[in-house]
Amino acid sequence: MTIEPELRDELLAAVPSLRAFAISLSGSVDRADDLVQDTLMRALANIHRFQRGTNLNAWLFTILRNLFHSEFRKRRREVEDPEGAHAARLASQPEQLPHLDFEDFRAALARLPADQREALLLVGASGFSYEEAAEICECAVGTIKSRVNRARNRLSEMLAVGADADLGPDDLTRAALQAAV
Amino acid sequence: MKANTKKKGRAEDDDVAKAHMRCTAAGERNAMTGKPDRRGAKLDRATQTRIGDQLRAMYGELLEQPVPDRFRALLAELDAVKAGDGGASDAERADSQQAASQPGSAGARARVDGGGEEQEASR
Repeated sequence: MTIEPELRDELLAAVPSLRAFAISLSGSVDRADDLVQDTLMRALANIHRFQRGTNLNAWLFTILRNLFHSEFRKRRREVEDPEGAHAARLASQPEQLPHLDFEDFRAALARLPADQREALLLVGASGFSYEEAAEICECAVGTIKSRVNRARNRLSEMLAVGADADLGPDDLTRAALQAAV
Repeated sequence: MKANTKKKGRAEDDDVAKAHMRCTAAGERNAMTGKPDRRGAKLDRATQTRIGDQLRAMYGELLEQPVPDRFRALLAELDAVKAGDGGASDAERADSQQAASQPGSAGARARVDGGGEEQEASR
């Protein structure tokens, strides 16, 4: 395996944004770090496929996203009744995260459908264009746009409700559980 | 779930489709207020900005987390592996220079015997 020092530095430089994406996607730092590690390993094993001069970050995000979804599908098959429980766990695990700021926001984000959440994270936070996000998610640009819009609408509703009714995270979790049953 | 395992090829697609339907169904009505979802409604600019700001602030906090040592170690390890593989590492180059400067069986062996690189380097 040949890896030039510049490429290694680029990979290392990509780690913070990969982690931020993975943490926001999975809701767990431990899972996120495993995902990032698997992403780096897979990237290195396939580094000959990467075209120099193209967007390394987009390529890495594509790998990470694919790993996340295949793992999610695997868990789904292995564990009975995972769907609602998973969402509830995502919403109720803020203690695993490094800080407790933005707790309501995180909880709301965790309750978005995965496709909307990832679209919003890629475009609204990671700084990818709609076109890049479409490539990462392997879908049409229009699909990304509508997912981002729906994500924003859903978030604004959840957060507005949270502010009006002064709901704590426990209420949010309970609501998530009820919604899942 | 048993039915799904029988036709495995489609099981994944079904799961994804079902998950999506569930999500969509859950979204028809707001879970807490019971009010209908206003997904079609266009958000006003202030709300969009507020959500965007919060998202970036939350994300920014994550971006500033220090990189865990395991990732530095992982990438640093690659250099070590590369040196062991007999790539053009500094250690090996130094080794072969040394071998060239003292012609004889020791230098020749160093080049042929790839497995002994570490021993050669440590001498």
